[in-house]
Amino acid sequence: MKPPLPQRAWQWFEQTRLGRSIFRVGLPQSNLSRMQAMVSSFLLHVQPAKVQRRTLHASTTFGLGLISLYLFGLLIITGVLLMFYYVPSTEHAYNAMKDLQFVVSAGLLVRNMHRWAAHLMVACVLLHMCRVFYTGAYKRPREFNWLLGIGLSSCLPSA
Amino acid sequence: MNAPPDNSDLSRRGFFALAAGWVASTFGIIAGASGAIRFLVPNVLYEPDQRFKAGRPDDYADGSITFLESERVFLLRRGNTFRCLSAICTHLGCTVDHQGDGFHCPCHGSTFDAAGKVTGGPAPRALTWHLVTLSKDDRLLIDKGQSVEADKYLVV
Repeated sequence: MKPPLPQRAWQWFEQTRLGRSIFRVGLPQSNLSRMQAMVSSFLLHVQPAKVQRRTLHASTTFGLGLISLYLFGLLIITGVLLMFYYVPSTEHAYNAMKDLQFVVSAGLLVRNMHRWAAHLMVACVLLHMCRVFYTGAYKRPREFNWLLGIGLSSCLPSA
Repeated sequence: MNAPPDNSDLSRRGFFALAAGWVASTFGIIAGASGAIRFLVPNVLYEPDQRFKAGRPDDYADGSITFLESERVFLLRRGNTFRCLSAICTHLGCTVDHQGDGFHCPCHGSTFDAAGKVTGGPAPRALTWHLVTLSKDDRLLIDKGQSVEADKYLVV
């Protein structure tokens, strides 16, 4: 007897190139394989047991992904601080910025940190994309990572 | 995941480099955190000063309860003690009148006793007592930004 249609559609999808790129180890069927999926796609991704010496070399990645992450963290911290003073309205915005520049303690520093982190993050993300392209990191089986990167970088202008 | 680093063969130079790194990052974190806190303390407030001077203590007779209309407070003198009671009803902010021993709100009929406690009507809380101090030029200095207990008073 043939399995029902949704199941067959799923099985077909898992076999496609896109499906294999998203679900690298397939859907786990037992508690053991669930645990293995978590370990292999999360823990071992952050702290691999074994890496090639070449991938650790600075000139391989230039650390652009992590630099983007740290800049994002800096943007969040300084952005939350700036929100305490900034008033997003046509009457008050200009005066709020003047206050941040001339009145608030360390206001100029925080504002400029936010500004430069924003500019640098756009540059780093673009360079990161170039790096991924030129090192071929988008190739099989990591095609889906490229799509994730496109999704993330399209969020960038809104930040 | 990581085995603890083996520091047994740490050289003197390596130790000092490590220590300098830790000290520098600790100072960096402290400096960043204190800078962020200082950033959040406002240097300018866009609201009128809550403190005002209410003249000399001798301007008020012993046992008097004086309504200061512009500041919406009552100034109470008993002997050489001074207290200041807010005249703003805690219900909807009308100005209360001094009636008999207590206070009465003309808007919705809340009543308060001599200590400012609610004795009737819709008011949810007692009237606020404000801090009274003496300024350097011997004027009564009232801070409407600070509330105190009803039994706290200034002795002149």
